[in-house]
Amino acid sequence: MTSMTSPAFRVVGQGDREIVMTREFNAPRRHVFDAWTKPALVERWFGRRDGWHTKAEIDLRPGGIYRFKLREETTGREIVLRGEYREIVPPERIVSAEAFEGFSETGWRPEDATISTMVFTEREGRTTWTATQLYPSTEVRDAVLSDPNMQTGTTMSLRVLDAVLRELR
Amino acid sequence: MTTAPTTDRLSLTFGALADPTRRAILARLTKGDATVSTLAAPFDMSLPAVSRHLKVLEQAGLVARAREGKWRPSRLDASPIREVAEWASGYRRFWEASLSKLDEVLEDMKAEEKNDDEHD
Repeated sequence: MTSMTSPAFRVVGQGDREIVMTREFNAPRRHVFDAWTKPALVERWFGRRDGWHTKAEIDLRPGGIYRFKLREETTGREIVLRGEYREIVPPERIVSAEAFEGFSETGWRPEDATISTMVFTEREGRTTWTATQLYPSTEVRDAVLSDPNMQTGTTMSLRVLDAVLRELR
Repeated sequence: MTTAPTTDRLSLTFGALADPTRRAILARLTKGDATVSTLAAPFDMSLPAVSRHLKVLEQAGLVARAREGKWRPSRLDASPIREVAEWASGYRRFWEASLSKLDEVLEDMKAEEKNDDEHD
């Protein structure tokens, strides 16, 4: 199993097509759940980097759609994460199918989607957020995990990526 | 994360990299330009089959072939792979930045809740 550990945020590969992210928060899980499901709260943190703003639309029910639109003010660049809720158990669990719009030429397609399962567990006032993302293929999963910072170079199946990146250095 | 036009190219690159024969061809090309027959040698595969793989790699912009000349050697173009790597390393930065902002939001929520309690 490949892994990268920083004090708080962990990203590990699981099986052939999954990535599991975990992070602990010093807050009760009803807050963490709200921060994921209330647009005004999502807009304050998701995708927020210097110069980037987020607009969130959320229809919180099974089959409901959410769109998180990230926009870079100076360039007008936009990235839209779109998903469909599959299962909602407040404040414990959210399952959805999501993909970045524009990822394929035919627009948003369910077959490009990542199945995301988020679980919130609370212990002594702290919440562990576990997000399991099931990718459409091993290649996409491996590419996401292939970040050199994640120290997964030797175990990933895209060895050619390694070889080529070495050539480029 | 990246812009929409780039992600279209990314899916082409992913598609091209999805096949083990094509990855082997690319790995061979990191060692230098090669003709179809040189590339076909390690595989139990016909020349037209190898040509079809080359075509996919060309469409993804991973391989360029000389227009002139009888043997038309193939050459690796690594820039789409670099793009994949950049996209992937953006992923971790994206989440780290977002999650530390989330810490701040959660602190605010706690403070707000405490205020509400005191005013009740």
